[in-house]
Amino acid sequence: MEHERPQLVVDTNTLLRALANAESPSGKVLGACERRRTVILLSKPVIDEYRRVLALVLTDSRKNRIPPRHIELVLRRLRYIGEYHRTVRSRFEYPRDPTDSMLISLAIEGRATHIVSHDKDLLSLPNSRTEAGKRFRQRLPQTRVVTAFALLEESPWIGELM
Amino acid sequence: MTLKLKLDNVPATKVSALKRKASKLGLSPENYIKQLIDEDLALDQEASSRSFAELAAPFREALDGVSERELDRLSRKKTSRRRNRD
Repeated sequence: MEHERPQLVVDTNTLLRALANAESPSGKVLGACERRRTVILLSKPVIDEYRRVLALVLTDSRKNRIPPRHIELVLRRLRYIGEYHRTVRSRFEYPRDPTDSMLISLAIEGRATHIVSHDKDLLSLPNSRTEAGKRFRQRLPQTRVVTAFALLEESPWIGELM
Repeated sequence: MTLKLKLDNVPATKVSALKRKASKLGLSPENYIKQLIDEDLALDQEASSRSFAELAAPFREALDGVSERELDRLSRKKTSRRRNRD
């Protein structure tokens, strides 16, 4: 059976979980991007944020340091398998949280079906009664914010090996 | 094969920095730029020919034993996220 390929915006915490463990739900979601079961949406601000956070996390407190070249290779692989939006004209103002703002702006631009995150505030935003929550529902009526586990539960075929 | 590149509107400070860096590496500015291009294209080639799982191997090793909760905490600490919620 042919499935519609989900268009995903991936939060940095999901990428980090995927890199740490390929067998985790996040790892399976990124693996599905590689197998073209899903599409990862990317933009320059999002890739810059991935680069910045990975560099800080992986050089800060870990005993095994990751050379910048490895980070660059992973980011280029994502660009190779993903859908890169050179320009993101859509804007979702969310001054309290610049990272969420850039992820949501990309979701609007790329017509994402899902934002995959493990951030409680972002996960609760679509159901929030705040002004930002209302704008989210208006601008992204079809987009769901889910954990990697929830995405795999909703669409188990994503994680299946071919 | 020769390809002549002309870079306009490069600030003088950057040109000076480029010359200094090339000199430090024992290269001419032209060869330094050529080296940068070679390295960049090599990265593209490697990224397109190796799987995400392969490229993630050093990360798995570095993050071995770190719980997902701890990864989220590290990620949150380092993101631009501001936690001054309502």
